[in-house]
Amino acid sequence: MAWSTPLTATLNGTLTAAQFNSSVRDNLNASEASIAHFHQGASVTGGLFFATGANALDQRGVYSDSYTNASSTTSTSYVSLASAAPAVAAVTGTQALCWITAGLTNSSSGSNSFMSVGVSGASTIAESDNWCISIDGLLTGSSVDSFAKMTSCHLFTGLTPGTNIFTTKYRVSANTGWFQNRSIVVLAM
Amino acid sequence: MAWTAPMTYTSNTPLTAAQMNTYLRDNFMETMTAKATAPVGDQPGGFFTTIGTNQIVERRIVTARVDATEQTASTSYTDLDTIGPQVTVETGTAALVMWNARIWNTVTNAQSCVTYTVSGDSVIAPSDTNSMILDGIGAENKWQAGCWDYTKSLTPGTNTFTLQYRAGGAGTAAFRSRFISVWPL
Repeated sequence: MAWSTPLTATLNGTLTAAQFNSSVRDNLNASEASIAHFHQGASVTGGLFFATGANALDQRGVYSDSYTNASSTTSTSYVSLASAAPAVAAVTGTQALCWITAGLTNSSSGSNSFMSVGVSGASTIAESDNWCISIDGLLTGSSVDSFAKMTSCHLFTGLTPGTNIFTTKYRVSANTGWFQNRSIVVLAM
Repeated sequence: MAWTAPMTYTSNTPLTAAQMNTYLRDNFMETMTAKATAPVGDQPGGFFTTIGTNQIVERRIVTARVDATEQTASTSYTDLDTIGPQVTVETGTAALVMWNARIWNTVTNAQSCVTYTVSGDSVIAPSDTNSMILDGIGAENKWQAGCWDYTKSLTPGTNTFTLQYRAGGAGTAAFRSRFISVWPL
């Protein structure tokens, strides 16, 4: 049911059932209280409301995932690590804000390590250096040493509304890149 | 129209037109649904925040991006050849500002810094206090990362947020993949 501008009552005017249904029932059903529900599962709070058109709302929310242990790659093109990504499946409209965070290092002080994010599911957007986090020129690192932790934010546009899966991917320019304390946060809009 | 606490109806009491208009029509017009507007271009749809007792307003997250590689040797914050990225948005007294960039310097162990400034109804000068700073690494080594700030000293109205840049005194600071996102509150 869609929103319609509430009628203006007039003195001695008759309020019909159709008018009540349109101006009261249908408008209440289009309001945020009627739409509101737990964000995820049966108990997670924090749903947010976004305008999806004139006089139209939908509930969206924040999704996150993380993985602590250090993992590595020697791939010079973006790949998943052997351990969990992290990744989230988010119900989005056409846009989403995405933050990625990790501690990065490389086994060679002259090499880069990169972390980015791509989208699959309802949409397909390849991970890219344009929205990565990356280091270069750190002291020689290992699985337990010389990590620099950083974060980055990117607005994904042109998504196909529905369930979109945001997956972190990793690469290096050379040698071995290590990544720890990885996380992803997606604000679906 | 403003919100009015809905009256409590009692049995056998007529509901007047004035009451209908005040408690139903006018209160409906204060809901998110009534205030929701269509997204503009490729910017996200509006979200809602409070601006007072029983008052909400639709705000828009705004973003901008500049991918060009540009540089500066200025030791005070300045624009690059391409100003920004830059966004102009209606705000209240607060905003959440986020920005990213790929940063490097032409010499070893020299600072490269990027932060934001505000103009328009508010004036906030760029400052190292909330800047993203790269230092202590080798020449031409590139890092890409982000930073954020919450400011609650804005003058409500139309405010323009612009990324600005500086070097540390030695060498030339270089930047690309520059991005800003502002959540007006």
